[in-house]
Amino acid sequence: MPEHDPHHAHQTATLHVATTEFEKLDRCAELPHRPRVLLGKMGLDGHDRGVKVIARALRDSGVHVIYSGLWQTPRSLAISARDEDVDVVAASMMSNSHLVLGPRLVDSMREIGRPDIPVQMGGILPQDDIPKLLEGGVASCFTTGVGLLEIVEAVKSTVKHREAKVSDHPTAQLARDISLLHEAGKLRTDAPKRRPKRVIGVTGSPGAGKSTLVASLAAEHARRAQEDQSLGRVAVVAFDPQSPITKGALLGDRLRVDFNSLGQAVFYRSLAIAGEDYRGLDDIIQLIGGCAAPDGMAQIDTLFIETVGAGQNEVRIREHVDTTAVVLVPGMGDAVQMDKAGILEIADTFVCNKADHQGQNELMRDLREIAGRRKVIETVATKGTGINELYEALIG
Amino acid sequence: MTTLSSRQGTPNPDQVDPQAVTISGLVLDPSYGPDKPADSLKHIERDIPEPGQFPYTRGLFPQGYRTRLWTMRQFAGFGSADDTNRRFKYLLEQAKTSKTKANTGLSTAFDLPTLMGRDSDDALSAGEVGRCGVAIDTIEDMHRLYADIPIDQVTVSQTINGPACVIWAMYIAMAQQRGIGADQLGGTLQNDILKEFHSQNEYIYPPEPSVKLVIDTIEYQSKFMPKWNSVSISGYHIREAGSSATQELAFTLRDGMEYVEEAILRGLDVNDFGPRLSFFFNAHNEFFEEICKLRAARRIWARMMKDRYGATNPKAWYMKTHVQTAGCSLTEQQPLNNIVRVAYQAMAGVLGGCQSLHTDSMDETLGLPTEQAVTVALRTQQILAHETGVTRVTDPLGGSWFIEQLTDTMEREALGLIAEIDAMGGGPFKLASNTKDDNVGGRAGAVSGIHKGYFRRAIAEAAYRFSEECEAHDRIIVGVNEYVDNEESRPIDILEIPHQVEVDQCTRLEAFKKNRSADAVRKALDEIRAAAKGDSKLARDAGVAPENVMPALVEGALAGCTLGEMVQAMADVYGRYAGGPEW
Repeated sequence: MPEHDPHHAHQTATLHVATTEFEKLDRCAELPHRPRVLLGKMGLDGHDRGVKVIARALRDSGVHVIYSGLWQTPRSLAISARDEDVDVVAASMMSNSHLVLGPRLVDSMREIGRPDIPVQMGGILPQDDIPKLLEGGVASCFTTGVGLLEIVEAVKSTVKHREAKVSDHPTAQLARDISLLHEAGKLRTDAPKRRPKRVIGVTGSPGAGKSTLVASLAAEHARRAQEDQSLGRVAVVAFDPQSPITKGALLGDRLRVDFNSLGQAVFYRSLAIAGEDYRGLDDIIQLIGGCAAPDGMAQIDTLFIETVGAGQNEVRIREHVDTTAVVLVPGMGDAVQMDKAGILEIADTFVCNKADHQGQNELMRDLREIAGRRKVIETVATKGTGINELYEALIG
Repeated sequence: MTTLSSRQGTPNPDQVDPQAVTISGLVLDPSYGPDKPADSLKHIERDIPEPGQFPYTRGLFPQGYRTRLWTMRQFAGFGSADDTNRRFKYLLEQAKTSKTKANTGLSTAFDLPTLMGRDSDDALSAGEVGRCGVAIDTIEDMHRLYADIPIDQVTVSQTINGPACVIWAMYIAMAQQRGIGADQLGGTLQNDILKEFHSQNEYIYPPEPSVKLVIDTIEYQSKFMPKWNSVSISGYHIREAGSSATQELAFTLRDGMEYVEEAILRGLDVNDFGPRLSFFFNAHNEFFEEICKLRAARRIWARMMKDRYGATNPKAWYMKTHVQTAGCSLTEQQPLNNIVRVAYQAMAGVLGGCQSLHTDSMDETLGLPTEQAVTVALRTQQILAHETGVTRVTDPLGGSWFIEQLTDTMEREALGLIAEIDAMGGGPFKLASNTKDDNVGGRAGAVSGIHKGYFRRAIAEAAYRFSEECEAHDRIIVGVNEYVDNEESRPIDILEIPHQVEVDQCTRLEAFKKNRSADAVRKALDEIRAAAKGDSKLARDAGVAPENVMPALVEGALAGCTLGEMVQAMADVYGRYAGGPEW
C-alpha cells in the first residue's frame, strides 16, 4: 500500500456524481395522460445496461416505466403490455435475435388482444434489418448511441387519447378500465363489477421482499387452481411510489413473476401512487372481480394487493382489503419493540421473511409477543420456503 | 499545480471542470510533478521495484514482451460446431504461416442457449441458436467443434460461466474418447460466476451453489489438470455494464479473493491452485487510467496472495491477465472509427502488461464480426507487436510522476472498496496459520453483496452517470454526439446467421437423443443429483470432495446426457436463481 503522507497535497479523488446531471423534470405534463411504457428483454440475453439507463431517464422525465425483467418470451411480454395497458412496448435487443423475436412480439400483441399497442425496438440492430423489422410490424427502431432526450420524446409521441373501449378481450378491457379509473377517476358505467371472494393486502417496509412473496403466493394459487378449478384465477395489484418531483415512477415488481410459465393464469397490474392515495381502489377491486373470464379460464376470485411499502405508518390499506399480512425481516426487532401501534396493529398475519438471515430468532420472539392470536409465519420467499404455510394462513 | 480534490472528502461537483474528470470520475490535476511517495527510495523498493520483482507493479517478467509476447487470442464462434471448427482451422493456419514467435490460441464463443445451460430445442432458445456463438448440446457437438484440432498442443479458451462445469466435463470426456488424457489439456475456462450476478446475468443457480461449483472445478483442476487455468476472473463484463475502472479493479479482485477463500476452506492448497487462476480486464478509452488499472491490479493481487492468504509459491502471486478492448466503447455510427479506438485501447492493454489480448472488430455494434473486420482487428495487434516498438522496453511508463500517482490512487480507492465488500461478509476468520493478517475480513463478502444488490446498484449508478455526461456533451463521442454525419449510410457487410442453423441443430439433437441408452442417461443424471446433494460415489473414487460434481458430469457427458439435462439435474437440487434486488 502506498505510504500516506500527511503533508501530501495531491490526492486525486473520485467525483461520485455526473459532471452535469440529467435534470429531473416532468417532461410529460402537457400530454393527455402520463405515458406508461413497458421496457422488455426477450430471449436469454442478459445485457441490461441500456434498458436500465433508459428506465431511469424516462422515470426522471415523468414516465411510468414498467420493467419486464430478463428472459421474457414474445408472448409473456405481450401479456404484460396488455395487462399493464401501456402506451408502448420497447424491447431491448442485443443478441442478434431481433429478426425472429421482433415479428413474433408483434404477432403476440395481436393474439392477446392489443394489436394497437406500438412495438419499438432498440439495441444492436443492423441498418439493413430495420426495413425488415418495420415490415414485420415494428413501429420504430433505435440503434445504439441515441440520446436520452430523444428516447423520452419517442415514448411521449406514442401517447394518444385513451378511448374507453379498447378491445373485445375482457382482460385487455379490464386493463384499460383500471387505467381510466386510476388516473382520471372515470368508471365505465357498463363495466361488470363484483368483489373477488378474497382480497388480501400485503404490506411492509421496502426491501422486506413483498414482491417476491406476492409473486410466490400468486404462483402457488395458480398451481392449486390447476387442480381445483373452483379456486378461480388470481390477480395482483402492486403499488409503487411516484416521484414527487417528476410524477414519474419505476414499476419493477412484476419481474418477480414468472409469466413464461404462468401465462394468463395471473392478472398482474402495477400502479404508481403518491403517498398512500388509494383513491379508487375499491372500484378497481370490483372491476377485477367482475372481469369476464377469458376462454377456458375462471373469473378472478383471489386478489393480492401489494402496498407501496412506505413504512411504519402505512395503515390505510386495511380499509380496502379483507385481511392484511405485514411482512418483516430479521434485523427489525427494535422496530417491533418500539412500534406496537401503527403498521403492526393492522396485521392479521405476520410474516417473518428472509427467515434464513441473522436475527430471525429475535424477530420471531418479538412478533410472537405482540401477535396474540394472530398467526406468525416464517418464509424465505427467494427459496419458496414457507409459502405453502403462508398461503394456508391467508386463504386456506 | 493546483488540485480540486481535498484529502477529506469527494470533490465539489460545482467546482470541477468536466475536462479534468476521467471516464471513471477521477479528478486529475493539470500536470503532475515530484510527489513524496514517487521520490522516496523506500517507496520505489517496496511498490515499484524492477519488472519481475514482487509485487510486480511493473510487470511479471524482467524481460517483458521480449521473451514472451502476449498471446493474440481472438474470440470466435458462430453457427454450428462445423462452422466454428472451420474458423478455428483458418485461424490456426494463418498463425502457422507466420515466421514470428507470435502465440495463437483458440477462444471459443458459445451461443446464448449454451451459455444459459439450455438445449437448442428449449422454448427459451428460440431465435438464439448459433447467433452469438456456437451451439453445443452434446458430446457429439463437442467432437465436431474441435475435430482435427490438436487439443493436446493448442490451448483452448472457453468463455462459459453458468454451466462451465458441464461444458468442461464434455470437453474432458470428448478428449478421453480421442485418447487424450485430461492432464494433456491446456486452456482456460472463464468460469467466473460472481461477475454474472454483478453484471452479465448469465447465472443459473443461486450464488452459494454457483460459487461451490467453481470450487469443484478448481479442485478438479488442481488434482487432474495441471495445464488448465480453472477460472478467468473477469472485470471485463463489469466494465461493459457501466462500472468505473476503479470498480472494475476492486470488484474483480474481490471476486477472485472469494474463490481463493472458498477453495482454501475446501482444503486446497493456495500454492497449488493459485497459479492457475487468471484474470480478464477491459481496456477502455481512458488511456492512462487503463494502464494504471493493470499495474495496480498486479500489486494488489500479489500482496493479497502472499500476505492475506499465505501463498509461498511466487507463481501464485502472479496476476496474469487477458485483456479485451471495450466493446461498449464502439459506435455504430462511422464504424471505421472503431479501428482507431481499438488500436489505442489495445496499446493501453500492452503498456499495462497484459499476457493475452483480444482486439474487437470494428463492426461489433452492428452484428457479428465479418472475416474482414476480424482480420483488421488481428492486424492491429500485429502492428502493435511488430511495428510500434512498444515491446522493446518493459513498463516504459514506470516512474512517470503521473502514472505512479494514478496507480497509487487507483490502488487506494480499490482497497477501500474491497474493505467495504469484506465488511459485508459473515464476520472475521483466519484462513491459514502462516498469514500475516490475523483478521482477514468477512467470509463470502461478495455473495453477501450480491444479496444486498450492492454491485448492481453501484454499477448502474456509474452507467447512468456516464450517460448523463454524454447527454450533456461533457463527454464527446465522435460520430455520436459530436462530429455527426447525418448523410452517413453504412454499407458495411454483416455476417448473417441463417435460421436454418437452429433448425438443423434441433434435428441433430433429436437424432442424438434417439441413439443413446435411456437407462445410462437416467443413471448418470441420478449420480449428478447425488453429487449435488453432497455424496457422489464417483467423486469419492476419484479422490475429490464427495460434493464435487465433476466426475459425475464427465460420466454424464460420456453417457450422452445433454447440456440442458445435466444443468437441470443440478437445478433439481440447487434451485434456479430468479435474480436479486434489481434496482
